[in-house]
Amino acid sequence: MWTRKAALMLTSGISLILIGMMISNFQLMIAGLTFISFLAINGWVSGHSDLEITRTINGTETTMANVYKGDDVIVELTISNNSYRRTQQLEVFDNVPHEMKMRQGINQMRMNLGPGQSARIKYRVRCPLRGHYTLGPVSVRYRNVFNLFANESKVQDRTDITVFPQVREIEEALLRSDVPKMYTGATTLKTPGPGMEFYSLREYLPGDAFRSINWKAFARTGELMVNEKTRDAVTDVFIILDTRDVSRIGTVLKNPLEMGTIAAASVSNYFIRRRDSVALVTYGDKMDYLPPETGDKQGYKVLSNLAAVRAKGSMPLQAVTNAMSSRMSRGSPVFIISSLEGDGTTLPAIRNLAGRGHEVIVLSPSSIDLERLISRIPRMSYEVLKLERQNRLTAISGYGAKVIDWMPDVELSQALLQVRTV
Amino acid sequence: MEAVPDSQTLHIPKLRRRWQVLLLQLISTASLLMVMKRMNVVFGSCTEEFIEDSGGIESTYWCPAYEHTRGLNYWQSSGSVELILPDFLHGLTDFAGEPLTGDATFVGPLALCIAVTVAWVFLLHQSEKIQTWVNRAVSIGFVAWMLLPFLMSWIYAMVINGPHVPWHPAANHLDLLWTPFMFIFEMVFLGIVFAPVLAGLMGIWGLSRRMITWAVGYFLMVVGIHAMLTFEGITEAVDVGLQPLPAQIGDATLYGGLVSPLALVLLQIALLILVFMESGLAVITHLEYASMLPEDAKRNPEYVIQFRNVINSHIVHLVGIMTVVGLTTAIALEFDDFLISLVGFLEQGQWSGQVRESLELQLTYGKVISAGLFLLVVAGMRFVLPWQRVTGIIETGMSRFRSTD
Amino acid sequence: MADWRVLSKQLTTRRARRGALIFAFWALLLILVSSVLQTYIIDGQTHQSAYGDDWNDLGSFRADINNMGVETTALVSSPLLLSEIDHPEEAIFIVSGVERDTISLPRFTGDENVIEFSEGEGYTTSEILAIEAFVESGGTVLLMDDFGYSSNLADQFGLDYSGHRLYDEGSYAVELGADYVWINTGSAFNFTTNSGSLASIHPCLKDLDNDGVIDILDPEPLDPSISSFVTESDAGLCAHRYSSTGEWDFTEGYHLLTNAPSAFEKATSYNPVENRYAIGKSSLDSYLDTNDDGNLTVGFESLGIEGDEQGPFAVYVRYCQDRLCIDADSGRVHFVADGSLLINALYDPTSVGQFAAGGGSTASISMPETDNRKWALDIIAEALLVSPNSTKASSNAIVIFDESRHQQPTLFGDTYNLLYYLLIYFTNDWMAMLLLFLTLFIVLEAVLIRKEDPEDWRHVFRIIYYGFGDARRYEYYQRPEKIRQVLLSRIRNLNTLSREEFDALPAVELQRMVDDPVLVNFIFEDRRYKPDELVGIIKRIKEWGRTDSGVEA
Repeated sequence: MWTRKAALMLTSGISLILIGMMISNFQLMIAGLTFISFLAINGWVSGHSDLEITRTINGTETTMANVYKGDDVIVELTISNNSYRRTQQLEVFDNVPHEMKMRQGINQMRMNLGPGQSARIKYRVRCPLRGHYTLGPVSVRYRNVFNLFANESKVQDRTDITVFPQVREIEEALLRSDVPKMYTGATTLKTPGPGMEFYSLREYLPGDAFRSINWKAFARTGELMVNEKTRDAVTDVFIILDTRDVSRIGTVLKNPLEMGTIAAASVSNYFIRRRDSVALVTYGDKMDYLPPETGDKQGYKVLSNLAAVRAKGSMPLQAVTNAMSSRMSRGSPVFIISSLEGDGTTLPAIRNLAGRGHEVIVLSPSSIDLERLISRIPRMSYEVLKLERQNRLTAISGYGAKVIDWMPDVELSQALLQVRTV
Repeated sequence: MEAVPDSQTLHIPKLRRRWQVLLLQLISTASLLMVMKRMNVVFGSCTEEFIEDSGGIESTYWCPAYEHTRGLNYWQSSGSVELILPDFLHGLTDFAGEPLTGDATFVGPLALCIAVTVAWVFLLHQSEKIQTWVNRAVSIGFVAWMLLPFLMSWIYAMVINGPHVPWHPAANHLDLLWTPFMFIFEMVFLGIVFAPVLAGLMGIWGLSRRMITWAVGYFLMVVGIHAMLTFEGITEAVDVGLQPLPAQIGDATLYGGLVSPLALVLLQIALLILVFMESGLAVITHLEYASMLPEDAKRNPEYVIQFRNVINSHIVHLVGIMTVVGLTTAIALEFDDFLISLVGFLEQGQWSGQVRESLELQLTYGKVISAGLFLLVVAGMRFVLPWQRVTGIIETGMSRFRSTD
Repeated sequence: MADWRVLSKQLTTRRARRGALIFAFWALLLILVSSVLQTYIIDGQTHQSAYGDDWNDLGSFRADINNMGVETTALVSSPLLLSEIDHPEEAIFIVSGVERDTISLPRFTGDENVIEFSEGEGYTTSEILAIEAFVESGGTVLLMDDFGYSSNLADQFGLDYSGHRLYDEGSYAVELGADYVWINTGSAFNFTTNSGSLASIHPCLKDLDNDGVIDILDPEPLDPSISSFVTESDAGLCAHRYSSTGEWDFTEGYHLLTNAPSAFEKATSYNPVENRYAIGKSSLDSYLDTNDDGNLTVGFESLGIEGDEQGPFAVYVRYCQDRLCIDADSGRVHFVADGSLLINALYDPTSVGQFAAGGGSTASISMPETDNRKWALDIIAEALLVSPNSTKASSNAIVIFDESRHQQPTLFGDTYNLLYYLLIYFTNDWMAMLLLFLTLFIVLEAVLIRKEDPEDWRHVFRIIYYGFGDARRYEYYQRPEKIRQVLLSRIRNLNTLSREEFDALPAVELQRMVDDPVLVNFIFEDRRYKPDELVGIIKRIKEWGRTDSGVEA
């Protein structure tokens, strides 16, 4: 496309020629012709963006990468000109989401690659916010040497970056606190599943492992039978995370949702490491349920879900607990991570859960103190709000739930040590 | 990551000493001075009739031509005004007081322009506080220069002769107020020629886009005003004595029939203006890019190598394209002759006969149309000649040859 | 073979099929339009061009001029260029047939109308004024036209074309037919009835001492006893007056043969006051075919039948800028009501060979002797010989043939000429120049305002975001009733009472639970509280909760 300079030069050139003709002045005409000639000759030279671009993240050539919030990502872009022509002056810009902060280097370069030449752009970004992001595409602009023509294109080379919430080490805190301890094998679930103890015999179904075939039963009955084991895992741990609109009160880095995702990630990591099954329920404008599973894959799924949550909606807690009641096995511990604001159904929901025998632990980021970070709350109002919150927490703990009043400036592990009961 | 030597980093002070940057700035400066010189040759004289009417070649006359000594002498002699700057700085005389002529008249003012540019660039590198202080000092100094002599003279006169108004017939002190304005008028005469030179130098070495484009605009404005003032319709009403350009561009006798002498000079002016502008702006563009880079990128060998590639190719393009532009424009100006021959050769019919003998082709219209046609063909050649592919293949071959050595 | 398969695969893709359909559509449309246009587009008849060699072109005339060493040029765009002629007094502008109309472009009139949008036919007003200015500067115009578009140009000089065909039963070329009319004039230099012969204004006829040698070649023009021996080469531009016997032709009359001529209106053809002189006329037996039926129609007024107008009619009129064209530098216009006066067939029949008399026949016909050539060369000599000392034209002399109003035989010839026309129009006409300036200014402003360069790329880190609570509730939480509610909830929670139990609680019991007189008063008294009172109460509530429950506040 023509730049402003080229358009002005063309207009000026034509004007000079015509005015020169009007007043019979050769200098003006020749000046105008020179401008037009300059444009015409520059039109011969064109760059190209026929480039081969590869991107590596932290040294690995990949299209997907996972990092934790606050981590740095080292991106290296290699641009190669595999054609027979020079690229002429190119500007290469790797599109980086505005939520990422450039820590070192720069994500663009001006280059002129000869045939077969390459260049590398290396930069480091920090991801202060969790979420799903995409690096790329790579924008390439050919610009004429004299800034007369410019041509943009995009090379569709993208890399997906998932920024997980931070996972804190809370093992010691959980051990020292009054949070109910779960030991592997402490409770048998009487459900079939992977495990050691014998549960029952059943017919062989295609896909069953050969080693689970009970040959004695086969010899006896003549039919293939397999041994079913009792599920080894302990009871499922349910984590219910409040992602309603009220959970966004505070700054972008400090709000109940951010604190909640850290807590959810840390708790799920702790239990998954202990080979417990962890389920995740997030509720806001809708309810998302990740069924209980164990293993690293489940851990990844939990983190991935937590990375994607956004604060919206106003679904009541009781609706969630009612929906989940059939899925929760009796006695399963339930972690409720919520600021408890703006929801009148909190008490009955927790009461119902406690009534069904669940161990309920409520981890509540104090949204009033988070609100205080950004709004000027009159002192009296603040005190009354705090009192009201205390009442709420007290009422909750009156139903047997473990309540943690989590202040913004307190680490998760410290907060867990504060768990209190009635 | 390997680090480059300190002298090779992309920091601005280092870059300003890089040979590519200096070369571009020197090309720009040389072009600027050559434009001034060429314009002085083409637009710097008065008509003979005007000279005769003014009293002959030996008299002091002035017409608004692109020339500075005439105006200064006229200003000096007509109003009995003493020039404030010494004559050697104006280019009127040498140090010994001998009058100067020709190119020697440019030396003094050019030296003054260079000195002002150096001072200005030096000031730009100082802190903002010092810059403000200097600005204020100059403004206050100017006002003081205007008021202080007047006040001191008046007060002293009042002490000696008693109180009186400054405009007393016996002792008119008001004349002292006008000295700075006389200086400004003096600068105006000098500035007719050297204002764009000063602005251009400041733009090139002070890295100011605005100054460079201002200088280019000034040159074009001089050409335009000269064209207007020498237009027949205007000179019939008001003749200011400017020597017009010849009515005919002349026959192409130079360089094997490529260009006529008049066309060559005019083409040189246009081309030099372009070279001055492009090379001056090139430096600014590249240094702006370098200044935008973060500290680690300035030391990154990849960035250093590519910066070098970009600026080297800019120089190559500047030289190559400007040469081709000059050739193309020269050919375009003579393309009407070729068109006549071609038409006559291709077709012997009625239309070819008309075109061959057409009045339009003998006047400027034919030149413009034929030049326009030629430039259209030139522009269209980009779709025909794969010259970039050819040069790319040559370059690939050369690099392979070098790598096998 | 692989390539063919790839190619055939590509051709069967949806995109290729779509492209083929579009191509077929446009091709069909083009064929249809061409077939329709062919019915209506008629090939241009090219004739009366000085650069053509057909029987109806003026090539021989131009060749004659070139042979005399005079430069000829063609004007293919517009007579506006006549203002660029450096020496108009040594230039002659020859118009032979104005076949084409002009484009109507607006122009400033300079009077109360300000702008004129529509133009007359033939030449534009600006062009007519340019021709007039050319004549005023001393230029000579030879206008030969009958039924073309030159009426406006003639009108500018006060002359009107009749617009009808002239027939002369008393004076036509019998061997050629009634289309060929003789226009005879005994003395072409008797401009007025009482001026006498003004042949002395013509350099080829001026011989003041009557010694048989024209004054230009006479060393003593006023001394009849002194003359010189004149050769043909000495004659220069007057060579057509030099006979093979060495005699000089001083005759002042012409026998001009015209081909299907018209005539000028009687009322305007002769007006000595306006320097307009009727030189060549038809005979008394001539008539104008006013009803265009090709026959002489005698009028019967009583029956309301209009008859053809009877002659004689002026066919050749001379206009002089100065009275009687006495000054050699004076501008002149020669009007002839026949565009084909100088065609090759009439100018130099021997060069044509076989020619079709009236078009169509290939029979060779011998042309009668005419003075067309002599007359034309006389006009050339009168126009170009400004120096009294030479019969040769100077280097400034120029003959300009107007080719801008002739059809072009070449495909892009008209386009090429139109390009020039527009260029000259926009750089010569004031209105057009103003429009051009305006357009250029608007384009420049549009470019400055609308054209934007691509933005520089840079990465911006931007994550500032704040989530605010409902600030409206702050005020509500400062009210005593809200504080009271919070206190009561606190009491209920800490005493693990249900709502119903708490509601049923006697006041005394409640007081006992609270056990704080201030708080008790606060619960039971409904009055206005000052802010500092409320602050005190809140503090006590906080203390009360801590003391009683042991839960950290």
